Amino acid sequence: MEALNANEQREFAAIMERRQMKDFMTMYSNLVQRCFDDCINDFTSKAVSSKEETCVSRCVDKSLKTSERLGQRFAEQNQAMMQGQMGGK
Amino acid sequence: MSFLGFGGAAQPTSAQKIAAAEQELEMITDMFNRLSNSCTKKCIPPDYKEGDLNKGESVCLDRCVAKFFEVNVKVSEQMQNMQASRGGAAGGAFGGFGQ
Repeated sequence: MEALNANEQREFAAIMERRQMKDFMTMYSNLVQRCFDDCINDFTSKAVSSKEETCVSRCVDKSLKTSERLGQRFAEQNQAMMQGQMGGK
Repeated sequence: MSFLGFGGAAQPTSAQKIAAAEQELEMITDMFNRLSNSCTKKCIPPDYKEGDLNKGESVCLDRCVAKFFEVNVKVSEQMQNMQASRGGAAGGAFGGFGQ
């Protein structure tokens, strides 16, 4: 892949920023859906019970920590793979 | 630049280079999202007994990422072999994720 010059990098940085916003919104939506699906199963009442609320809180906590860890490992693996390729497998 | 008149590949324009970079970013983001979904399903039970990752879950996630990458490489290699054995010239299309 061709390297980008300074101008192109600036343009690409703007593209990346838009994507990051979009990705963040997507992540948020997915999180709401997952925690709702996993935690909210009692429809005998309209109000969210305290048990459900605790579950959701832990779900968010756990999901964010999971995402962080996966991101770290992904970056490591990606790096290793790039280096493997450049070193001429 | 080629003066040989073979009509060899011209220098990519700025727009093309940026489009290529964006496409690569798209691929990587997609891969990460799929990996996240799969590994979360496989490693994190949905009962949320606590908000932290325990040791078992952490190790599972680490191994899951490593295996996902390995599978990615294996699938890529196998597809390249299949293309090659068919005498396909399009092997380059699958050549090496992350180029």
